[in-house]
Amino acid sequence: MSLKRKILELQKKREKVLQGGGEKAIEKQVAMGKMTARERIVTLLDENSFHEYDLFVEHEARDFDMDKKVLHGDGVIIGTGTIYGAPVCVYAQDFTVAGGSLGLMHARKIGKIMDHAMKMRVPLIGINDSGGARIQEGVNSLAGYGEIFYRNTVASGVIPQLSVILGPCAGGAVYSPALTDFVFVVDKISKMFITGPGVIKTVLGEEISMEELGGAKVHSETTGNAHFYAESEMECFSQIKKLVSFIPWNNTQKAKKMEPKEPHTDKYPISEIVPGNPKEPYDIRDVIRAVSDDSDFFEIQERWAKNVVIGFGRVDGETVGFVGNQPLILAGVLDVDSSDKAARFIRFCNAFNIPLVTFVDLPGYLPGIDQEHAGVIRHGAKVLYAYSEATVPKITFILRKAYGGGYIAMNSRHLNADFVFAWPGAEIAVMGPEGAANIIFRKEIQNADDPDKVRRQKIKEYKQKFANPYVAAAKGYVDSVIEPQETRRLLSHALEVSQNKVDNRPSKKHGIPPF
Amino acid sequence: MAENNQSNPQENNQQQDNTPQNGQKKKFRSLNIDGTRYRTQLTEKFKNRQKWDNPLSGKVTSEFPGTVVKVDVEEGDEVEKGDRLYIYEAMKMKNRAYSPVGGTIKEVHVKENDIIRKGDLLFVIE
Repeated sequence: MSLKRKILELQKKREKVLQGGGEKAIEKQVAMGKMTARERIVTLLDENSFHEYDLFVEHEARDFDMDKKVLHGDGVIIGTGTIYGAPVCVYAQDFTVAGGSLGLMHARKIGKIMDHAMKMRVPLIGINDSGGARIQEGVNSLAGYGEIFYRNTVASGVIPQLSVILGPCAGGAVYSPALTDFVFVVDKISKMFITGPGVIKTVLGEEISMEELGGAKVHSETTGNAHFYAESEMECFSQIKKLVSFIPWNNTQKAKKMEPKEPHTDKYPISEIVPGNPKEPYDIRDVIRAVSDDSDFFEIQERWAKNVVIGFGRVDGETVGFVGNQPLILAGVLDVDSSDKAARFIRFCNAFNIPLVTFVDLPGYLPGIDQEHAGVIRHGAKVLYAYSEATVPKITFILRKAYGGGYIAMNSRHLNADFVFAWPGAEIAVMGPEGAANIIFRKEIQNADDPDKVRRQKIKEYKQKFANPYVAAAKGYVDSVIEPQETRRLLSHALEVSQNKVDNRPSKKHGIPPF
Repeated sequence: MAENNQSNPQENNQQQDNTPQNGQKKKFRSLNIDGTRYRTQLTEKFKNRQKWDNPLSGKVTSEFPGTVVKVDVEEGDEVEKGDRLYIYEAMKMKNRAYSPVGGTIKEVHVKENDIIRKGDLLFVIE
């Protein structure tokens, strides 16, 4: 056979495998409103950058007549490419081939590209669209999942791992996304659950649709499993690209520096955003936009635990992670969910050398029996742990209220913050004036002829004496009391002088955070 | 630190006002934290939180979803703490449930073959 004919043979083989599950299956996929696995990869990556491997992998299953079945690529596509020039490793499950079910070779391909990502120290993006374990392959498919989870865990904190749910992701399969750093979901397409509506109906007699049980809205609003919600696959891909532009390739590098841009101070006049009265709400994201380059703030988990706001932005072209209490929602308290949300983000930033910028305005932890019984102690401790553990530059701005445990938790000096700035309206105190006065002056108030009058007077006294930044500044807990319009300049300066930060900790295998 | 002397937020978020925020009308409520009332928005989860119920009150609820296989007691029976109340099948296992308190069975809300959900009221013991 001449080389020419051999090339022709290769082309034919390729063509056949590239059809995936064939025309009918592709039609079905399109009818579900979904792109095919290869379309997804090609759309996501830079033009002509994708190169596929293991195209000719075949499964080895023999039971249940599987030996007679040809599954192109064994239902998953793996390869490498670039996003804005950054190298990435990608896999995408192909639902048109045996429902994207996971068998031994399928899992081995995923494992191969994960190992590659680890060797090359580049981000890994997994696109999930699978009916689950390939039942015919029995324990081999379970082995496959387990080996993926193990690799996810080993890679955690070394390379960024992104999971994109573009179809069903059910049973054990959901644990790979859960172990990764960011989960992307798309309305009406993503479905994640441990047990599906069928099982729930048999066992409990309760009827629930896939969408209501584990759709994109559920995971981005109720469970907190997802980080990014999109209306369409295209929107989802642009979110992934934007995220990749903010983060480094691995834990030994810094995120790529971009062209510095000034914030839009006309649209976000920083001195006018925060009301003087600490009981009045405002949107903390406006403060973040007032200091970030081009007023661009890329929010994460914007639909879940909204009383804390997290996300990426840039200052002088350098990526920073913003954490802020959100007075607009539940007065900005820390509770079980918002503590979880903030702590995980802080740990991501620390693992990937992204400086942390914290805006504080909170009345404390949320009181209530439900919170106590839901373990607010254990969850709240995660925030303390994450901030204390972080060795990246840590810069704090106390805008208004900073009461009690909440003050300590929000990257205070006491948790080894590098810079703590306070605005003149900051109230750094053990609790709000009303509560404090009621306790300290309880007897005087009780015994007074006019208790309300005395209470108001005592609250006023307490306010004047303690509800300010100067008590903390006098102890050096606050480095500087600044005017709001100085915020961006000081932030930029603090980042500049923190570039060579060294924070050596005792060596240990790992800490034991309050999971 | 935050000592919570008098604030049950549930009772204190009755007031509301509608102030435009970012051009949109949003509902603001008052949330009481440590004696201070903050004007803010509430989340669905916060609004839907369940009121606490004393688990030793004699109300026996199901601890796990499943199908009831056998009910061991009927109204008027005397039980001691730790007596078996019913058997249910869940997660491919037959599970036994025991009385958390001693007393007289006042109400039985479950029979064989019932499908029970987590938290369903099954017995009242006084």
